[in-house]
Amino acid sequence: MAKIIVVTSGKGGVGKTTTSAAFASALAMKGHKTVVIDFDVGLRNLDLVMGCERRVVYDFVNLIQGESSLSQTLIRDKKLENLYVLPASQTRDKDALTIEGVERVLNDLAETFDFIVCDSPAGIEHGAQMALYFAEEAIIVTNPEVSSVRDSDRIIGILQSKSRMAAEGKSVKEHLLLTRYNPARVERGEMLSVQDVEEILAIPLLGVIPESEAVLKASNQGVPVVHYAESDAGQAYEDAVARYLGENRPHRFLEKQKKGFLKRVFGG
Amino acid sequence: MKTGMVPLTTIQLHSTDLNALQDELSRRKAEAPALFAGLPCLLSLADLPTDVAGLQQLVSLLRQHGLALIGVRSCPAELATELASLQLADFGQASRPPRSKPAEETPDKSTTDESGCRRAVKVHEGNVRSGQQLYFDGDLYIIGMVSPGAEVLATGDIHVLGVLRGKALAGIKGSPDAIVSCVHFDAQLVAIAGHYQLFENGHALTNQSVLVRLDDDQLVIKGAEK
Repeated sequence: MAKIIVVTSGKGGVGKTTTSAAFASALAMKGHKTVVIDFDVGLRNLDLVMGCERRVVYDFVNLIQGESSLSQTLIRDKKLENLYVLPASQTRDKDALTIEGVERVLNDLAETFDFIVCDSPAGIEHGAQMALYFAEEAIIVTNPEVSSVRDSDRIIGILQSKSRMAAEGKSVKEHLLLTRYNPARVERGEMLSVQDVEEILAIPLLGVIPESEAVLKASNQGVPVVHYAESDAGQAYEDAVARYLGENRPHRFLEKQKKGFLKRVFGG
Repeated sequence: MKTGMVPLTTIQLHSTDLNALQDELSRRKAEAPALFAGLPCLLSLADLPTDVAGLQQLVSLLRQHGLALIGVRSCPAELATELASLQLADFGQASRPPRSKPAEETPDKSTTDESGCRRAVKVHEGNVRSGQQLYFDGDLYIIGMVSPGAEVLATGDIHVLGVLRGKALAGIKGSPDAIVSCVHFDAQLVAIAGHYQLFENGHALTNQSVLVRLDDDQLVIKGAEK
């Protein structure tokens, strides 16, 4: 039986799609059959970040409306044979998503996949609610700034009141993923610290992803950042997924990197 | 048949100006949307000059705002025949004389404790998140935190066994004896019986355990010595 995970945040631009792509890729790398679904109907981006934009024929809305089959619609990742992408429609709007339709697709996927990662659109409206409704676990992507933390708090409230788990009297398991973390700016008091965010949101910390040039480069090239194994962000995502799967790994990239002697002399 | 005493809210209007009433109802509803929804109440007509048409308009306005109006008190004899058509019961004359100064704003304590019963208690286990609102008719205990942007309201006390970062409004139907307390104080707003205080720039007792009560229409915030 597949585990349904939603990647959500409330606020836009905090790294939901980057996280969905990296998380799903890392799960597949570790041998789990994974599908990642773009719920951002009308503003699809996941296919770009996953580097499969030119291979989209059918999309999620076609599938919901019975215009295509699962095997026609799913796009197999070029690098990882365990990984599939279900792209959003570019031409429709979010009202095309219905509870019944989404449920049917998720049930079909659950028969063959280990993990179903749902990339939520920003906001708290219909699209975001469709993405989180069936979730059993949620990754709350948060930037270390006040407005992002506030929106995350709001979306946690919605998970606790408007998800299927809540309707059944159970609760969605929440994980905090802090992205775009810059220890130097935290030290200068320009950014909230990990402790600040943990204290306000009061949910378990899954990982901290440092602000990194690798992320922009990766998304522009259509390669999920975990494939850059030497990059800090790639390693941080890999750590987060390992922790998600039950490994006990210490949090890294929380302290400012000390410049080496040569860098101090010649400039970094 | 069983008999028992139940507290019932009585609405005492200061005027029959429908526009003023409309504004006031909208304002109060915006403050606490759950407060009026289905609230059973009586309308007191004492000292209220009104005729048949006026009464009909008044009743329909109050019902539009979600109040479950079930009857009237102190109904003048000439209007008594109209009550049945408005589906209202006649609760007779007020047992105590109408207040001499109807303009006085201090709410009547007896509306909540008329039966002399202890107030109902609700224990909420879990955090109240931003954008959520929790309302209870009685004393509300929260085992968890109240996030900024969240709102907790009670007709009685509010006790937060955690951090209070949002808004807490106690005694919202006018109980000046209501109390707000919390383990870590960092509230945006605290109100007791309509007397409120904002904490835009924090407070000297921020992050301490505090108890807030109303003393002579002033909110008094006391912290545990540390």
